[in-house]
Amino acid sequence: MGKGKPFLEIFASALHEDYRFPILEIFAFLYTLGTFVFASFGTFIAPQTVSNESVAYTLTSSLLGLPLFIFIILIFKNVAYGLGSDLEKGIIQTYFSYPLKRRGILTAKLLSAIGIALILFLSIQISALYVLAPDIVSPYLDTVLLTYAANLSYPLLVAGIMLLVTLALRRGGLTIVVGIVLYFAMGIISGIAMFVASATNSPLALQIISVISPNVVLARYYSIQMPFVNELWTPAFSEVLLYIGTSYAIAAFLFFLGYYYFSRRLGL
Amino acid sequence: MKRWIIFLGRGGTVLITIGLALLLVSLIPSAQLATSAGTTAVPPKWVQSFIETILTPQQGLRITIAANGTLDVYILEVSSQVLYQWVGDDFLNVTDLEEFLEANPGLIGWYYEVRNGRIKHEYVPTKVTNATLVFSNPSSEYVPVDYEASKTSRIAPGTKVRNLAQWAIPIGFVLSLPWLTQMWKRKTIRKSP
Repeated sequence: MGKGKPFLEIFASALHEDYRFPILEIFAFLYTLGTFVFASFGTFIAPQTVSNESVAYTLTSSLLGLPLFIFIILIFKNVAYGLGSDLEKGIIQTYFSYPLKRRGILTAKLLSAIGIALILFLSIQISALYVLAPDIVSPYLDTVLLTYAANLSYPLLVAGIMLLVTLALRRGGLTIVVGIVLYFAMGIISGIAMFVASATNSPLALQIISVISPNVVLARYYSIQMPFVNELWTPAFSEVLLYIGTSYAIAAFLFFLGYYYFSRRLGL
Repeated sequence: MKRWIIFLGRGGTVLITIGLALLLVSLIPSAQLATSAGTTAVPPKWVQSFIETILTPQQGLRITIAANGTLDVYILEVSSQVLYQWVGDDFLNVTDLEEFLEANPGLIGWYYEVRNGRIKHEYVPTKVTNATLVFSNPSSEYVPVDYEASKTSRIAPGTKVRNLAQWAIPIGFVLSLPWLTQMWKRKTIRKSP
């Protein structure tokens, strides 16, 4: 048996567990509905004073409220409950008997838990955005993708933490709670950072937050093109890319730790 | 059950639910935000601009126009200020407008020629834009016009979304049919003694 076949076997099994009928259908329904219901172009005094790039950013950001939370619930459920219950029930031990390296097993599980959820989320949202405003989305697809990249890095970082906690505890229930608390904590911390930055008249707090949640820096970047906004920090585009890159590097490092633990340290 | 049947089946059911969500979105009615109505007489070879607003893909301009004569009705994706600045005058004639439109053909959002009749139309842009309702009288007589324009708000472009739903649901059903049939057969076998 080649390496591809056992990988596909585990991937198919993970898909079956993560997306039992009608979980996938319910999430697809909610993503589609949420995209249209929450889409907002902002308020305009005159369209020529706001660049189309900013409009693309505002539109994409408006969608990332509840639909993003729904997406996060799905990946948290898949990572914590899916992997956690496999560890609890000893299904992972069965997978270890397959002629596949441990990292291959984890890749198959994560591809199902996060990869498929991400593909579903992005494909539905970007297609719906295209239906809604083709003349904004087509020419500014890079802005749309950058906004998604900035907003998805923190959920992925939390997913990385959840992976580590799930592997350490070998159960998922508590991990879901940890993940949701961490996700909401960022909202509170961002609010505090905003207040501290304005009170101290220094962007340091915002810059620190942007390292793990780069949507803050992206929001600052696009707000400079809006009139009548008092700016504390006006980052350059290269800075935005740097913060997004750093946040993904941190998330990747957490997943690397997860892989390392799963491959070398996890004893069952 | 063969994997490709499951794969196509689940893809089909996802397509059905996306189609149902789109259908639901298309059924949400649009709301009327503001209405402006009036009566005017457009002088011969003269152009008048009326309602001017900012529209987004979620906002439309619903117009009803009745004219006793020949009248060219435009919705231009530009503010009247820009139009008059381009012409360099406070008044517009038909030639000025034609020159402006020749130079900026992309700014014509919608055009219709009314001939002694009444038209109804709803214009929804695909980007954030200014919208100006312009009447142009190419004839040599005064043209009396009754107009009503309402700004409307909607969640999504209804017709486009409904068309997508009408395609997605049947395609999804066809894709999921083999999987659903096999699922049903399995259940029947399990139930039978």
